[in-house]
Amino acid sequence: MAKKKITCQSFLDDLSDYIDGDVAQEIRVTFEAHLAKCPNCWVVFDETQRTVEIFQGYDCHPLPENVKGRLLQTLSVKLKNA
Amino acid sequence: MSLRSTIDSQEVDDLELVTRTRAGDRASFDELVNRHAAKVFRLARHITRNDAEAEDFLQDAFYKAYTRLDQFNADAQFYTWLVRIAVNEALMRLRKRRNNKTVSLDAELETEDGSLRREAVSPDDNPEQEFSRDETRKLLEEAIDSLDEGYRTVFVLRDVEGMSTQETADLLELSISAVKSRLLRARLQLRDKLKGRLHSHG
Ligand SMILES: [Zn+2]
Repeated sequence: MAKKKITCQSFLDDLSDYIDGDVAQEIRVTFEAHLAKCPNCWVVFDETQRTVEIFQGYDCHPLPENVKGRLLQTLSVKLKNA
Repeated sequence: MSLRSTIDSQEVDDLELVTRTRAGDRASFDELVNRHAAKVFRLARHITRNDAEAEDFLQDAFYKAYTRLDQFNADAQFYTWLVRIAVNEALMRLRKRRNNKTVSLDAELETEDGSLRREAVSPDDNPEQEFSRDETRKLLEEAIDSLDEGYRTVFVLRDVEGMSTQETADLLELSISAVKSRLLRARLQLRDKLKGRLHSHG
């Protein structure tokens, strides 16, 4: 396979896949080489990856207890007639 | 409500609960509600951005699920099937609500025009050092709320719900490449939003 030249643009286009570990091995290697010598891309990569990790580590909008109670209540009424 | 006495929640899987519900056991459906209500609520809240609407929609989604349970295919995961009903319901409501403004969401990502901020920040600044867990969670919720709908739904399905690119594409009726490009934009926008917010106290 011909070695594709990595530009900042081509790295950025695949940034999500790279963060998700969803790129082929040979592409991953070329991206890693690019990151090692391109501080701009490294910053974007590092911050974006940390952003994703922060979101994955939090349960946003926890279910309020009264909402669950009302849900079961409403369903029990509606489903009697269903 | 003595659910716990009738169903030992860890031992029975969703599929079995569906089977029992179909056989007329309402307590089994209540257990499915117990298991999945929090996730469906979160999804609904993310998409609609409104607590009351999310609650309303939560009731509809489970009601619809119950009435369509005979269409559920046992090869699928119950939760995935439920999410499909829930997302369709939420998107339908959004479409009714909004006045048809369309934005180009899938244009090429520009890197030369300065829209993508690249300034370096200290590598070890950690939002959790300055904010409590609740405060951070609120910041995250607001950041997601501020995304355009097209980016928000993709981000929520992929990064919050953990669905695959293919599942997200199917659900939203988008191409794989549109899902990927929207996810990237959502992530980059969130990165910018959080950076601005989390640094304002520093
Ligand atoms: Zn670069």
